[in-house]
Amino acid sequence: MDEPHGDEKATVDADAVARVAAGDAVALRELYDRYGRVVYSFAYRLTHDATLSEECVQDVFVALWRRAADFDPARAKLTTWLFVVARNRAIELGRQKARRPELRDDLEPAGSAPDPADLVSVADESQRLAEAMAELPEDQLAVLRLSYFDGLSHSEIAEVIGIPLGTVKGRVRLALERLRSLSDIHSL
Amino acid sequence: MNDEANIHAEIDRETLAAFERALPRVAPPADLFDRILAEVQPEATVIPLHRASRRRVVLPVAGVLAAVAAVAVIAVLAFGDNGPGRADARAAIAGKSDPAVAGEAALYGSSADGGTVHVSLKDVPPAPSGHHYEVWVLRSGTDSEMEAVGSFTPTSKNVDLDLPLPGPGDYVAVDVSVEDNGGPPVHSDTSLAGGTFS
Repeated sequence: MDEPHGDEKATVDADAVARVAAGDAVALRELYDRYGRVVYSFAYRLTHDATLSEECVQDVFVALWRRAADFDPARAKLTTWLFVVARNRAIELGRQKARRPELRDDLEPAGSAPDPADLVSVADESQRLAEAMAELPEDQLAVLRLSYFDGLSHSEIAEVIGIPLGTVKGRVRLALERLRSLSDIHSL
Repeated sequence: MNDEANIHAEIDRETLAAFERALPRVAPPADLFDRILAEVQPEATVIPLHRASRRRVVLPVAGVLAAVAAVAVIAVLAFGDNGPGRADARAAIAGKSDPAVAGEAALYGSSADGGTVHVSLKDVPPAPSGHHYEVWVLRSGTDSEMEAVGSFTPTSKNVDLDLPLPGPGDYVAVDVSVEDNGGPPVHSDTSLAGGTFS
């Protein structure tokens, strides 16, 4: 069966949020599986720190759990909500890190964390693409996650998901085309 | 490669390059969701049932056969590597409603009063909303009567439980059921996992 697309995906997200509001931890897991990696990557882009990125993701999904009842799908997409919360928290954590050099990871090259003054513009750019990725139809997002974050070849993805190789390639192409249009990528 | 394909390849490279600038190829640790779950749910509630309130529940024959045929699943309090002594019997635990669940149960001092059952489970899913898990044991000679020994709500995928047995006996099976919070004091007939002692 095909994964949900477009508005249908927003409806699936809204349903999951409603279940989260009712205390359903399985629904929270579903949303984490869908968006957790993108939120983590986004947070890492802003903090350059694995520990702070984990803290950011944890705060985002805890906030989702606690505020799910207030979420109104008519006012905003879940992905927008997630990345606004992640952005605010990551910027805060990034600024704390800049103020407290002892928090820096010794293995990280000095100066790799963005200057606090640059964080907002960095966040603007990354948030646009992160949201664009998260808003992909689930079937395209799934192949992109496996290809981009896990480094799987198209053949490996076909085997993992159990779909023909040509379908994988088609979804990757559609995902990239959609990302370009959604994120206005040439302005990045 | 024709011109159109070259154009597509170039656009894809640009897209991926922008992608890499915006979203590093990093992954969160595998246990991050467990930490989130631990924060949003109450501490794991492991509730050994007191003897006075312990329930003797008659399962349908099919349920009993299923319980005996499958392996039991349960999570228990950590005993440490050495355990509380030599186990009387052990049961491999296999998932039923969730095939990913696996583990082991062990009986200690089961031939006398004060015996316990130790259950270790892996890959336990969060309890469905409004539900919890309950551990049951079956003694030989009691036909289809399973006895509840404790309930729990997991906060991580790995669960360890140490629960008091209802009394001396020849225990043949263990089962972990999915129970509705506030539901009737009978086995729901929905087993997360279970197993037989040998």
